[in-house]
Amino acid sequence: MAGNEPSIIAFTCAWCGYPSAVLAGVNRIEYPPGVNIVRVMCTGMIEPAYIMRALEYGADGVVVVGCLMENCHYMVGNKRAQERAEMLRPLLDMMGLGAGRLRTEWINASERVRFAAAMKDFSAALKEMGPNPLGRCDDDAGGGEAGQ
Amino acid sequence: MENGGSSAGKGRVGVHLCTCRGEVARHLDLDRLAAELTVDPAVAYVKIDSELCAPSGQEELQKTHREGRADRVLVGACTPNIQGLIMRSALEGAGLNKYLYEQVNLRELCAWVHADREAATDKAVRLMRAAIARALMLEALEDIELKVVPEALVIGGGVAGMQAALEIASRGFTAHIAERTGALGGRAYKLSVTFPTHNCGICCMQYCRECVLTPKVEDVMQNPRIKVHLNSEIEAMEGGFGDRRVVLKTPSGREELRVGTIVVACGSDVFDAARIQEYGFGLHKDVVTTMDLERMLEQEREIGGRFVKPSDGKSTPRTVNFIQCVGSRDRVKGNLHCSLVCCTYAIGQAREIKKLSPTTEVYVHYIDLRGPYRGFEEFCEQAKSEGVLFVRGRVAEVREKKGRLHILFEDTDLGRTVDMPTDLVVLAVGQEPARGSDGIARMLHLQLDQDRFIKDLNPNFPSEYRRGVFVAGCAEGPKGIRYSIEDAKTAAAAASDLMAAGKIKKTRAIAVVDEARCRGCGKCEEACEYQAARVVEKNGRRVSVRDEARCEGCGVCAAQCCNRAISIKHNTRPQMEALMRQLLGRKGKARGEGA
Amino acid sequence: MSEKIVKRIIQDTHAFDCVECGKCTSVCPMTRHKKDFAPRLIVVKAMDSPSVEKLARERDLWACTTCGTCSAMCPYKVDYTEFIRALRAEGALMDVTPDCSQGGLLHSMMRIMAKGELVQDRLGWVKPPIKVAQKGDIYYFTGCSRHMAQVFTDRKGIDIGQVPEAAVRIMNAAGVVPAVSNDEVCCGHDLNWVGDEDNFALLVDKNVEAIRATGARTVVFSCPEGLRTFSKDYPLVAECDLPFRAVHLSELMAQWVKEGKLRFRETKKKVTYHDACRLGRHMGVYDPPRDVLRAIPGLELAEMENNREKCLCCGVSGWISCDADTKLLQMDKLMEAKRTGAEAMLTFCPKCQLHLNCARADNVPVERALIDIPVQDFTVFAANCLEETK
Repeated sequence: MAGNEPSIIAFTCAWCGYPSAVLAGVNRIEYPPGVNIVRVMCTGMIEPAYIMRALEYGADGVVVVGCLMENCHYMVGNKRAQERAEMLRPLLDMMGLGAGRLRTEWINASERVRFAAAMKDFSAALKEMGPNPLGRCDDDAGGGEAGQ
Repeated sequence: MENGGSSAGKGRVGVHLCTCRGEVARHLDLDRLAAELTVDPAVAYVKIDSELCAPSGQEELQKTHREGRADRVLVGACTPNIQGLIMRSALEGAGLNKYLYEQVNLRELCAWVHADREAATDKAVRLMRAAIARALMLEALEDIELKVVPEALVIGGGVAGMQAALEIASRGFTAHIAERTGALGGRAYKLSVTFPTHNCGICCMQYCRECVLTPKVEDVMQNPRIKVHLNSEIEAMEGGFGDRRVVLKTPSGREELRVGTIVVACGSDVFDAARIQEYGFGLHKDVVTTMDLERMLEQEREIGGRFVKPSDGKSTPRTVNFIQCVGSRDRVKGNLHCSLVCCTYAIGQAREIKKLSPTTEVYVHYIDLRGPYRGFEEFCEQAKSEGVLFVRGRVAEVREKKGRLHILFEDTDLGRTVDMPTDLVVLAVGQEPARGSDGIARMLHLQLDQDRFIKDLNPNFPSEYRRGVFVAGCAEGPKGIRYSIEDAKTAAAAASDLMAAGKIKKTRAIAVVDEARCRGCGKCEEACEYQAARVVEKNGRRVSVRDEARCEGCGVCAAQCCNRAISIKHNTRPQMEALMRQLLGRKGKARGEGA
Repeated sequence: MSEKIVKRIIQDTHAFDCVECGKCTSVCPMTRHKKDFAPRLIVVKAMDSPSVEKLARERDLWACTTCGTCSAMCPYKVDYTEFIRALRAEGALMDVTPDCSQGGLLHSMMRIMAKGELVQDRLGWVKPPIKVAQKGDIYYFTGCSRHMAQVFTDRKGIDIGQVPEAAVRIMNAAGVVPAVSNDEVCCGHDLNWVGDEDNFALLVDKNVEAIRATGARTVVFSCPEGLRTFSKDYPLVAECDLPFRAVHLSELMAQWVKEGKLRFRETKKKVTYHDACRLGRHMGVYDPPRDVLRAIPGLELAEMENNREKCLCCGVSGWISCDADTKLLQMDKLMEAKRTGAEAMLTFCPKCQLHLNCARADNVPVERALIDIPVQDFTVFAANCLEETK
């Protein structure tokens, strides 16, 4: 955790999740700074491997924020994301990371209050759960970020 | 193995921070942020400006870029979706490939939502570092150019459909009208009079059917650029944006059309009053809908008959009661939405009856009187002065008592229940989505609103095109003739603009398949909502290929592919993972971590 | 420097003894469909230009499934599989990494198990009437088949999630109550074979510690990959002499059948048996599974054309070699199995079952009827054939 704040990776879709976060900003609705917003076109783009890697990199929690279930801009992308989350949760329990570290939120682009509330709630729950047991070790790599 | 393309990894990032006229600077320590970023070897320079979106800011961006110190630009400011487009456009003017532009929203996603300045600045550093890591992996790309076939398909031959076809044809393009029934004109054709309310004189109501519609239908039928397909329905649709192959099922067989734009004008259906049993529609001959009344009034005018009760065909109704909001504003048996036009047309019909039979008592039972049209207030006043009686209260029941029709309601203004005998009950029925419109919406990947009408992309800006498909008229929601015509004109103009250009640019950020890794398993084909993914035979193997015109770049197929054979340009996996690593404070990839 | 490394690998694996006879190429399953693939060519390239940077980026280095058919046939016993593994490990040090299936989800999971101090929940499968213990002479290695079953929860026909329960049911039936441990972690097979030696070492340490705490002297595996890794790779990496030996469940079952401790009921079925690479060629365990099948009354075993040392690889190893060519290989394999007329193909390896099942479910280039044979787990099958205890 950065300071005391749980570090959260929030995958937000370009059509509902991200705009709701932006609107929360417009209305100055506060939420904890540990929330890092990663914009994707659709929550259906999020592979289970991204979520596992976020946890491997030390995130305390991962939340997937997308459109309301019947309203996905790409029709059923959010349903896919929901299915993948449901696959991952028992796995996270088996591994000892805890299913509670993965959340999904399906909200409208205009629901800025819900967005901020969801981030605050998740942050509080993660504080209670404790930090990611993997911590955030600055593992060195063979190469840097540049150059694949 | 995945790589970021020829320009990735060697780049240098030019960073511009915007104080947003001091607003962002109040909440974030931009100097500290700049200091932390400057030492990054990948950063060419860090500049702080007070208003990047203003002309002065744009000039600064262009001037700096022309100095050539960086080959990609990162802006830390407000939201990329709005002002970001201005900044990007300015840089494109200075020669930057638009795909090498990256923006972080430091204002709405950081400065404005975290009270602790220190923590907010720490987060800003993280967000910018992550964006730098991503920016280094961006590739210079070119938009895809799709050609737009100069022919349009108009689905539905009603008021909106015909208008759209005429407007498209007048601009030089061919329009095909696919009409399900055997005649053009739609529901407006069944109306005997229509009510433009600013013309308050009964003496000259617009008899649209004779004066306007019939000539318009003639225009459509005679127009050499309009091809009318009656009794025809859409069977299938192939192709994508700008070039769609539509298969119509017509009485004379299957016909294949090739069109570049589509206007959905499939209209709305009238609510079936029998669904509200307490009003007795279908049980009593003297309970009719406003549409039925139209026919009665039309006979009155054209055959010169008298305005009579349907039950006996001879006596004049002494009392007529209009019930408003039948099927509308009804969560239980009807639709929640208001159908917009019922107050106007019912009051108009009431006035018409008063004119035909001045001694008949005419009541209008309403909850609210709504008329989003100019002159409606005057229209109501005029109706009252002509003797139409308005009663506020939703009618509870229509029933027969001792051989006479009775209507039961509360007059909420006076606060008493009334059981009134009546001779004719007219149900002002509302509009609902046309049967089959949801199928068309699905085929064209349009979304439905909460009332199941087709949703526009932006309710404030009609006809922002979505893959060359426009919606006009009642298909988009209940409305009257004037607004349907306006819709049709807007849609036709937008469609014609597209066809006139002959081509349209589409983002390159769509799916690409690594054919060496593709197993041809077909999961992407199954997952794609836009039928953009197909498994085909290629060099003796099965691989998945993409239809560039159909692919939306949503990424669902890429995530579904278990073999990482699909990537989305400009939204690649390595970019995503580099972003996450920086956000979580890691220096680099873990040893042994796969691509 | 890089040259020295390659030369050392060549020496350790006897690669220099290669006479280019091509026997390996003709038996290699990958060469069936992959253009220009040959085990000996990797050795040639290594000797020609011994540069790790270059070799680590060779397609063939990562396309090989390390099934070992080449080494099994090689008259000079060149250890090709170790050659491949060692070069991969050197490549990993230079940050050269392959593209993994499932986006690297499984590898990420394994690295998390290696690095984290986690309180897992690995023993959810232990329910009455299964009997296990905290300490004992015999230890049953649960492994990750249940994790993988969860990842592939949407695939039909996979029964690998039932393996641990089935294995212990068999052991209980023979009068054995094995020790199990919740502190066990992934055996590390896949990380080892993609060259991630560091995280593999972490897994080794954790497992040795967990098993040592139970006091076991014998570790029983139902999974071939676990068996091979513990038997051949752990001793090289662990920092001490291992206080236990690894044995395969089929070996114990064959023993128990002979001793009359394990009895099966009448099962009228025709099956074929797939010798998973890690059990057959890598560990030499061919007969015990067959002895067990012969002990099931009414069961008919039909061997495939390629069996035992020649058994066709399932096409994927370590989650990295999956592509269109391996798909064609999997078609070959399934058609061969179907031709035996068997109703099911049994195997001990959960990976083989997953990969072949996946191939069956795909949009396939052959007539579906030709490959329509279910792939089932041997342990689960055998447990369901156990005689009812009185």
